[in-house]
Order: sequence, then C-alpha cells, then structure tokens
Amino acid sequence: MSESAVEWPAVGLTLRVDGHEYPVPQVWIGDTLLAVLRERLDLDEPRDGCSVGECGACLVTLDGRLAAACLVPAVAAADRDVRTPQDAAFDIAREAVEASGASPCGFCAPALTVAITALLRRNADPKAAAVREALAGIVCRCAESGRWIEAVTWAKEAGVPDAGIAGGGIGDSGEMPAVVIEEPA
Amino acid sequence: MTEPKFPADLRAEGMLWMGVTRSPHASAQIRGLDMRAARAIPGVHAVLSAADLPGYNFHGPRSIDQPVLAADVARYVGEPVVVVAAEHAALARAAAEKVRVVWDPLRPLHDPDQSATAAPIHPDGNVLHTTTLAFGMDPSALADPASAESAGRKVISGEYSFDAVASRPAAPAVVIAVPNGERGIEIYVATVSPRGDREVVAQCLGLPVEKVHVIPTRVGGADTHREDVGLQVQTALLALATNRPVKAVVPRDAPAHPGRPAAQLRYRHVVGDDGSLVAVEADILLDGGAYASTTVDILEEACRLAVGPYRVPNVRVTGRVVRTNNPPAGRVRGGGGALTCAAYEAQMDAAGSAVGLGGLEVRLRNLLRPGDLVPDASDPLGKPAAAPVPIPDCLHEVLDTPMPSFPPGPDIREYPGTVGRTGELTRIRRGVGVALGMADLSNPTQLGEYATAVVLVSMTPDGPAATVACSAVETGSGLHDLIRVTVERTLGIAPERVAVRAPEDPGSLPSSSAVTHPAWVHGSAVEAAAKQARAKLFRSLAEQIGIDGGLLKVVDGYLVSHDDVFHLPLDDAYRQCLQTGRVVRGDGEFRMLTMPTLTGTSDAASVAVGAVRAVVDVDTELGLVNVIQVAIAQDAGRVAVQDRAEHRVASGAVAGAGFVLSEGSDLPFGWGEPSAMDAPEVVIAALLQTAEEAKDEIGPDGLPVAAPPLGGMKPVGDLSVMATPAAVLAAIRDAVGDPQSGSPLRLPLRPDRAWWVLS
Repeated sequence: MSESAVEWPAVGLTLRVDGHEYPVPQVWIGDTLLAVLRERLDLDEPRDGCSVGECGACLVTLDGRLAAACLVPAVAAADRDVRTPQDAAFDIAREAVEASGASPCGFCAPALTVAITALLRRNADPKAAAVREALAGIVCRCAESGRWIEAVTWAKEAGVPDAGIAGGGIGDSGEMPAVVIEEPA
Repeated sequence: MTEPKFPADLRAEGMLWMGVTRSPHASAQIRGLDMRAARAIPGVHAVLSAADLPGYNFHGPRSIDQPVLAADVARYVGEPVVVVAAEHAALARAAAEKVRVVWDPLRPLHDPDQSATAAPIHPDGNVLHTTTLAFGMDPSALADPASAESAGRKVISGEYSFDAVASRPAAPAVVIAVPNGERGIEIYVATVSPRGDREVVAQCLGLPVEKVHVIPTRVGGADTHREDVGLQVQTALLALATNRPVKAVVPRDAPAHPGRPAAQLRYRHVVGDDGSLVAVEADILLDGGAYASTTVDILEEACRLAVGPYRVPNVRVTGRVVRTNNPPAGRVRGGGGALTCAAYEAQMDAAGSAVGLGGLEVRLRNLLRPGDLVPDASDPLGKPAAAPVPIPDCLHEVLDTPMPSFPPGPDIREYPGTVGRTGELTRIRRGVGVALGMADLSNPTQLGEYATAVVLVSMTPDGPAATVACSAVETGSGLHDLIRVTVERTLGIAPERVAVRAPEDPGSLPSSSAVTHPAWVHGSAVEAAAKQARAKLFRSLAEQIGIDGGLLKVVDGYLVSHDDVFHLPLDDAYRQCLQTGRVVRGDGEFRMLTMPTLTGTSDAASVAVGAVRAVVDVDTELGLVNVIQVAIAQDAGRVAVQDRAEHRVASGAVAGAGFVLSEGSDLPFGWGEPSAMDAPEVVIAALLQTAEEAKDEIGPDGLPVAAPPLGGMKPVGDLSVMATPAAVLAAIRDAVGDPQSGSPLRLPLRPDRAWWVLS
C-alpha cells in the first residue's frame, strides 16, 4: 500500500435524516452513510451488523427506497432524504415487532421495522412467501420466521401509512408477476 | 429507564479505534516485527505486541493455553499478533496493515485424524482430552461377525462427518475499554460472565482485580456463548497505553467466536433379529482447533449423549478432542448432544431397515425407561435414568400434528430453490422423518457454576413490590421474565411489580459464573432469595401458629401452611407483616455441586427427552432441500414463561435446520443460518409439564425440605437444536433413499453432497 492510503481527504456534508438537516464537517470520503449516522450523529438504529451488506441490520430508506447504509458512501447520501428506523414513519412496524416478539434480543428489530414498512407500502396484502422473501435479507439467530410473519400481519392490520413509494430493496425481488403464480382468489 | 445499549452503540469522548494485524498463515513462526511504519502514521496512538503486555499472555476457559497476542508462533489463520489504536476505524485498519511481520511458515496441521501422531503444535501437546464411558460387555466382542451373525444379530456400522460451524451472532463482537483514573479500567462488553472475565483481564494486564471493571452491556443474539476474553484484554491494553477510550469491532471475516467443532463419529450398533439393541459402540473425534477453549466439555457431553434415549445393555463410547491449526472451537447452542443425535438416529433407522421392522418400530422396542442405564462421566458403570422419561407422550404429540399440504405452492417460492425460482413440481419428492433426542441435566462440566441474588420486598402505595438484584444478563432468551415469574410464584407479587436490576459493577456481589444453563442457575438463586424473604416477611405469622417461616407458601392468592391448615388471604398477610417503610431482604445462592434436588437422588441421571418430526421437500436433480415443517414435543419439567420457552425451542429448530443443510465455517461471512425464506414452519406440539409440585415440604427435623429448583423446570433450549437435524435427515432419506453405504455421511448437506443427485 502506498503512503497516500493513510492520508485523510475529508469533506463537509449536509445530511437530511428523518426530516432534520445535519451539517457534518470533516467526513472522510471513504466513510459510509452508516458510519456517519452512527458515529457522528449518534443514531444507533440502524445497527452495524457486518459492514459488508450481508446482514441487513443497517436498513434505511434513501429517497424512499430501501438501502443498506453500510454500502452507501456518506457523500452519496448528501441532500437525499434519509430515513432511519427511528423515523416516525416506522412506528407502526416497530410496535408490530414488539407486540409479536419478533426480535427477542432486539438487534434486528430496527431493520425489521424498515423492511416490514417498505413491504407493506408496495404490497398491501403480501402472502407468506412474499413476506418471507422480503425479510430474507435480515440475518437473525434468535427469532423464528413465524413471528416475523405475525409481525407483518399485525402491522398490516394496524395500517402502515402509505408514503406512495414503490421499489424493491435488500433481500426482495418484489413481486414478479411473470414468474410468481398467485393463488386463485 | 432507557433501554440498555449494545456495545457497538456505546461511544466515549476522545475514543480511539482498534485495528488488528492477524496471521495470514495457519501455522507460522514469528521471526520479527517491524512496527515503525504503523507508528509513524499521524493519528495512530499505539501499536502494541505481546511484548507490551504487562501481565500473563495466556487465557482460556479450561486450559490456559491461548495467547492474548501471538508472540512467537501463530496457530490459525486470523490469530491476532499486533493491535493498533487510531483516531478512525479505517485508519486503524490501515495502520494494522502497515505492521510488517517476518513470518516463517510451517506445514499446517488441518486433519484431526493426524493430530495425535503429528509433531506437537503447542507446548501442551496435541491431544486435548480423551475419555471412555462403558458398561456391560465390550460391544466389539458382540459385533464380531463370527459370533454376532450366528446369534441372529445384525451389525450396523456407520460413519458420520460434520463440518465445523463458525459461530457468528447477529451482533458483532465489540468491546469498549475506558481508562478511568484511580478506578482503573472499565470494559463494556456483551458478556454473561463478567466476574470470570474480570479475573482473566486483571491477570493478563498485571493489574489488581479491583482495578478492572467488566460491565455487561445488552447482548445480541440470545446466546450465552460469546467471544473469547482475549479481545477484552487487547482493547484494555490499548486504552491503558493511550489513556484514551478504545473501541474494538471485530470484522466479520475474522474469527471472533469459537464455533462448533468439526466432528467425526464412527458407530456400530448390534441389534437382535427382534429389533432389540444388544450393544452400541461409538468413537467420537472432535477437532478442537488451535486452542482448548471449551471443547473438552463438548466432548464429554457428546460421549454421555452418544447413545440417545434407548435402553442398551452393552455400551462403549470413546472420545478424543485434538488440537489442529484450525480456528478454535468451543461450546455452542445445542451442546455435545447436537453432534451425536443425527448420527445415532441415522443408526436407528439403518437398524430398522436391517431387521425389516422400520426405524420407528425399532425405536419403540428400545425406548429408555426410568432406571435404565445411561453413560455417565462420574460412574464408569453407567447411571440409571431418573423418572420421568415421557418419550411415548412426546412421540404421540408430534405424530398427531397435522401434516402440511402437498404439493407446495402454487407460489414457486414455496418450492426447494425458493427465491432462485428453480422449483419444478415434477422434481419434488416429499419425505417425513421422526427423531428422538435426549439432553442430560447432570452435566458435570457445569459443576461449580453458581449465582447469587438478593430480593428486596417493600410496600408501596399500590401494594407490595419487589426488586431483584442479580447478575443475570438478559440476552433475549427471556431470563428476566423468568426471574419475575419466579418471584411471583414465591411471593405472589405480580411480574410488572418486580424490578430486575443488574448490579452496576459485577465485581461486587451478587455475581455468577453461569453459562451453560443460565436460566436454571440464576432462576434458582432468585428463587432461594425470594423464599428467604418470604420466610422473614411472614415470620410473625408463622410463630403464631408455631411453625418455621419456611413452611409458609403462596398458593392462588393465599398464604398457606405446609399442611394446608392455615389459610390467609395474601393481601391481609402483606398488610399485617409489611408496614410502609419496612424493607425485607432475602439472600439466595445456587451452586451446581450435584443434582440431587432435581431428582430426589444423586444416584440417578436427570434427562430431558423429546421428539421431532420433520417434513421436507427434496429437489431430485438440483440437490436442494426445503424444510417445510418441524414439529416438536419435549419434556420441559415445568414451564415458567410459555411464550419465551416456545420461542427458544422454535429458534433452536431453525438453528438445527441450518446445521444439517447450510451452516459451515467456510462461508465467507459465516451466515449459514436459514433465512426467513428457508426457515421451516415450527410447530410446538407440546412442552410437557412433568414436574410434580412438592407436596410435603417438611423434613423429619421439622424444617423445610429443599424442593426441586424452579419447581422442576428443565432447560428447554438444547433439544430442538440437537434433534431437528436428525429428523430432517430422516425425512430426506424417506424422500430419496439412503446414501450409499460405505461412505461417511457429511454435513452440512449442501447440494454438492446430495447423494441422491450424485449417484
């Protein structure tokens, strides 16, 4: 590695997170959105589970689309609408996860709330297979997926607010009508 | 009260980040270290090696054989050699890469089969432990073809080989060490044994133990088996050297947690033509990895649980755990029984085929009953199993569970292949398999584990309330719920009026060293404390009727004497005995010395049995397996918190499905656990409550007799982890036939090992 690898090119950014504007000075250009949210803005949900886009613990929405915050350079998130699990938009799903005991240790709870909300926004009445697929990108070792399906049902019945946003994300190829055979009504 | 934080969420003013230089070699000598380039980087505050450690460079839960930092030799890929503290996580990583280590690579020892005869890779030698458990005649004599076949017996030989499984909880391994002047060093870490950690850290840092404060944080992943304590020492070393807080986050591709050891099992079952088991011979070899960790315990447990819940007159189990240049292994969920259950159940099915009765019938003809001998570490002649052993009830429950419909779908994601959308109905075969499992509760490796607790009862304007101080760390498994329910059961105080408080500094009592069955150990300590508080609280009432305070108990809202003569509404009892301002304190302790109180006698082995039925769909060409449903029934003794117990059992079944199909330590980032897409539907058919309430609690001396802890509750976490793989394997064999005999069965059964495709 050359000496320049440890030099410290930094920029100042303004992040729009959960509806607030945060000027963040001196951000290393290699830093991820996740690192800045957690270490600079002290926003602990999203979690940092693997830092390499494998575990889904850091789910946020970027301009309404699901994103793994650990894979997004912070500089690329400047002036975009970042919503972390702490945002009020995810309150219903958060309650649903709590009520159904879907995250016993609580580590994956924030990611679940984001993924459940995003799922219900693009598919108001997902079948079990669609729920399983939408949540498959979140690694968990202490829950059991039956509870996750319960949480989605709970959130659906409580009514997740529609933000008029569509689009797939982590662990979810969306409904693909050409391939998926829907059950006859 | 704010929610406790995971260690990764903790930050401190002026905090530095740890970077680690790791060995790229599985086995290599360290000829020299050049740390100048790393130290020259602006923003790097410390670059330290083993030579900078003021105390003892070795730690380990059983043998003290693992270096904090490799000094002269590295024994596995990823072993830490140098640690760095820098202003930013990326800078710390870059600096760690700048450290130049002069390596002299050696030929690594990866094959546990060769370990015993190879040159020692550690001064303590390569064989970590051997054990033999036997009773009856030597099975090898009974398996001798000349005698066995002539007596109308069949000999079923089987070889089973299970890959190592890296243990990677959802939450990463993180430690924060904060130097705090005169107080010494504070270490924040997701640990369940802060007291034990504290002593190790103090010894390695050369500090008096009172200068080290290990503070447990929130634990992610509902597991008590966490990263090794070396990480705490490394972080604290940097914090002391820089006098700044230091945060260490272990990257996902570095080995941080001891995983499940690779295992090779060789079995011979001798079975009569009527299906009765004559003898079982088992030889178990575990790959302990570079350092001993807790693999000796797993070996012992695997050997005790090598036969399963069956009555066998002649048993011989031999076990070895050896050292290799693979990452260290240790105890993980399911314990040693998870290594043997899939093997002995495959043997039972093979025995069923050999005598033409079928696996289920052969099992039924050999079911363990109370009084039958089971292998035991403390008794070379075996120990009789203690009642109850309700296997028939468990079997009925799982067999009565409604079957999922066939075919799956029509959504293609419900076929094997799921999101890969490779499913085709014409290639799917369904199979159903049943397995029995047995966990033992007389676990000698647990001996010495203990916990203490304090229960304080006081009157509030809303009625009596309790505060529990104990060091039980809630990992998400429901331990604190269990503690609240235990207090309710003993004192009649509703769970929402019971506060569970972990002491800020676990160096002060209460404390514990409970790792194996924390619910049991902590719950029992809390129960003892609550009972003492109850006896003190109502002593004046007891004196009025001339009995010991310990003979009063709470039943359905009443305070009742042991002989049911005295009845008083609990509200009245509290009003009379607990004036405002009075605080009654009860102290409790539970120590795993022997298991007499669970069974009434220490001459019997306490076991917990269960049955699992698995339903699978197998893709006959692609080798994919979809586990559709897992139904479980098991003996829980007494269920304290139904929802939590069910959750624990169900998540164990998912872990078990992962063990048989997808988990392995070769995955780049380690998550072979079934995703939401792959996980089976889990049906808890029954958690049998077999414990009887102790009716007569008075002894011949007029004093209370010790009742079974927690009313006879048995730990429920292990059974689904061990028996689900066995049931899934049986279901696969049911769908596509047995593997060719002669070749070992290897797990995980990824498509490249699908015998039904390869043949």
